[in-house]
Amino acid sequence: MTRTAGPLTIASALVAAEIAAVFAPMPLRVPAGLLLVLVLPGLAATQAVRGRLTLERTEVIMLVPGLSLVTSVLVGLLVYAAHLRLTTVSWGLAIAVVVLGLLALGGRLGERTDVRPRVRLSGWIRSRAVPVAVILCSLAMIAGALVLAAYGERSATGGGFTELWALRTHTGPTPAVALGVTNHEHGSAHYRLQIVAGRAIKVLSFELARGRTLRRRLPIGNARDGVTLTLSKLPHHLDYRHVRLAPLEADGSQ
Amino acid sequence: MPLYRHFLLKVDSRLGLRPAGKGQGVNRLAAETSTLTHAVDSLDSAVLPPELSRRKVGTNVPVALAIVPLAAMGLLAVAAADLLAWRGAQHAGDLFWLGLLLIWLPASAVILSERSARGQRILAVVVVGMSLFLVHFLGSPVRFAGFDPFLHWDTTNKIVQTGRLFNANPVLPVSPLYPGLELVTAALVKLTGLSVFVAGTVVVGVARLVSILGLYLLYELVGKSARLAGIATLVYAANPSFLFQDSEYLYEALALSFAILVLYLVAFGLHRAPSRGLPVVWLAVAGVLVATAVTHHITSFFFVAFLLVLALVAPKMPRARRVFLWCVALLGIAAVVLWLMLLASRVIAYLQPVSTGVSEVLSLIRRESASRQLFQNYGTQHVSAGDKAGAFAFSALTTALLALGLWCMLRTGKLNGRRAAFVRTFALSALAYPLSFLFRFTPAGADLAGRLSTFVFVGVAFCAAVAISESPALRRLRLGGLVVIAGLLAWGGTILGAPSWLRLPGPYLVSADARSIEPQGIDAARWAGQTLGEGNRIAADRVNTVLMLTYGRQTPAWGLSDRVDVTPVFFDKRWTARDGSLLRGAAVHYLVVDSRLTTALPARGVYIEPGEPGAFHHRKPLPKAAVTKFDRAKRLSRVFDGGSIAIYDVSDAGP
Repeated sequence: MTRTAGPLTIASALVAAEIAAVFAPMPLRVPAGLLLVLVLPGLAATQAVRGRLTLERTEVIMLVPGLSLVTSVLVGLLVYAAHLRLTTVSWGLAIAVVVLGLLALGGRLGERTDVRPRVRLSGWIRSRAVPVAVILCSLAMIAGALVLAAYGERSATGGGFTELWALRTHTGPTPAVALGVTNHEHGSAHYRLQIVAGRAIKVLSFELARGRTLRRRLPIGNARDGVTLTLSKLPHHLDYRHVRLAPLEADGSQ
Repeated sequence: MPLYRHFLLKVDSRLGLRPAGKGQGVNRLAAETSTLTHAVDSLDSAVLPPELSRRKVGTNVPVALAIVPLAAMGLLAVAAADLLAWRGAQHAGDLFWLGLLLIWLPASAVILSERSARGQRILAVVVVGMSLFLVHFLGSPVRFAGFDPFLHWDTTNKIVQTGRLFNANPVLPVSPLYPGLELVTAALVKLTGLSVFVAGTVVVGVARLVSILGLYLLYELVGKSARLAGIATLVYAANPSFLFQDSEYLYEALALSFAILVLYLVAFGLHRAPSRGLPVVWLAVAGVLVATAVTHHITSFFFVAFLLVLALVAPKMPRARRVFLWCVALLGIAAVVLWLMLLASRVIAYLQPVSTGVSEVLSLIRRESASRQLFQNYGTQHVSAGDKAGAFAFSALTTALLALGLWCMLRTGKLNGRRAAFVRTFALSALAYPLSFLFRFTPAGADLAGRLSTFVFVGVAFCAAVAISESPALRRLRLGGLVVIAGLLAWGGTILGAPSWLRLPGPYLVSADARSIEPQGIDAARWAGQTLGEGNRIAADRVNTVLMLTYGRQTPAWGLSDRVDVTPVFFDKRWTARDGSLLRGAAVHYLVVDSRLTTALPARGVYIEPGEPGAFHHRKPLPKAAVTKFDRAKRLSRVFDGGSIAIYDVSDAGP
């Protein structure tokens, strides 16, 4: 890397990442955003200090994400202090300003004088095929671990359950009750729902597939009547769920 | 061969550079000696990575590379253990420990071996640090788990939604006042389009990488040995907070990486940077210090105190370095105090448990109160003999290594050497570790002692590493013996870090943070957000409170921020007028009642929050009548029934 190629490369990466983060679709935004928040500010900072300090490779690997995180915190505070909202554009612009500022500062601080010690690799490891294969195998195993753990968590739904709910609704010409039943059991289920509003009784029988919701809006005769809903899960669970809307007082309160 | 040419080749071979060409020798030597800062400050490890001169390049390479797939296999074993644990399998714990063994022991062998090269040690500490982060992540890879991460998730959500800072967080009011973690996460969410969970996990993972590498480089700069640095980092990774608490989406995790970065930069400024580079280092330290001060209160307090002690105990050094050190310490104090005074004064009230813990310790010393029983679980979960043995082994081993390390420092003159400032400060901060045992004997201090380990282990790890690498007794020990010691530390640290019921996921437990978060609660909260609308005032138990806050975007009533305690409503066996007036006083609209609370004692000691009746002293589970009473109250509407969780409209509950 020549003396000027570093800043130029960073500036080019910055422009590309900015465009991708603001305008590109989701898959491209991810690497662009990661670069903007976790890499480029730190890279520009380490580039800027190289005129005065000697940094070894491990230090650069640590300082790049570390200083990037710090920069993001400080940039966020400054944007807020400037009474600007923290949007995609303001984040992108602020990070760009900081990165370019650091690159300019690096130019002023003087020439690069760093010497980076390089670990000489033995013949065994110098052939890249073996370490690459080892790393790839390890990454595959880690990916497998993630899939396994995610499967475990997603499939842990416990015993399965059903939700029943009801609310008074005041939209429309007549008083009504909005109700819903959601099936989170392990499969389809047959339900019987009994609704008692004052002296009126209504019964609904229905089947719901797993993950599906039944929604109804049921008019009731008197807006002040108490309403009781009892859900049975057939064939065994009578009074499986119940909700109750307390009768309203004359002033409209319950 | 001329002498300078011979010397040049020697320098080159140390640096791993190719031999210089003919005629370039003198110039090359001049260039390198000028850039190797400290002006050829004797070409010792001040500039050169310390063990470059001693390392035997190429030895142990197969072993060093093997730790990567072995750690990956360990992660597979942990994932399998998690899968089994979700299904309630008995032997999931054995698989979990096998996974940790595969991660920990091979890497320990590489680090503890005297033959390993510096790069191999670095690889090993990174593998351990990142693998342990992934071990925790595998416990819940699709959503946040635990209690505290939900609070920071809420703060982040509000920054992402509003684009503004300092939005109220009703359950953790100090979280928005220290928005560092949330700011970085919000930036990632906005610029990548990722969810808060994924972005937050990436941030904490990167912070872990910075912490682990920063610690290694710091110890290496101070100890002048790659082996010592590797061992110290390994011992730090065994501290009880490392595997669980410091891997969570918490502001402390990010602040810790910043604080370690500060210490590293200060050490760099004192021992490696040339004088003309000091202003640049100071500028970097200033930025990181400010970021630490706005990210986490306790971390910034502790590390600023560390910097102050560092300045006070520093031996004689050139004026420029002394000024640098004092400037850093004073800037740290200014940043922390200014942030506290201007924006975060509420944190003083929030930190009351610290003073409670201290006063409990004092009254224990004066024998005015009885001590807390060790290994006492609040819930009904049993503490096994193995867990007790592991915890004792860890404490005893750490204390012994600490004492041995301090003795070695005295014997070898490390406390008076050129890098004595850091060595002395490490030693002083490490002394807080045995003192923290006192806190474990008090109810309020037990949690505090656990949290302290994150900070005091920065010093403890260094002292322990000095003991392992320099004490004559341990130097005689074979590699296998040292690996066993490292294994014991990891085992005990893991046991102390989390109770057995929290190490692995599994079926629902009452008030058990990650173990209480399951689909019923999440769906009830989502229903509340979608059907009742956002921002309703709700009252709920501890876990449903955070679910309603995040998934449901409701506004929970919480003693810490409301100063109205509604917890008695959940404990009364009969619905009374007082319950109604309490709820009305707190402007609560909906009440979330989880009937599972009646099935067991709370694992965390409280069903709702620390101010509740009988907190941390519950002897019997909540009576059934306490949750069924709401069905008998005439003016309450039961609007939602999800099986275990019911939601009541209590807007007209008043007398």
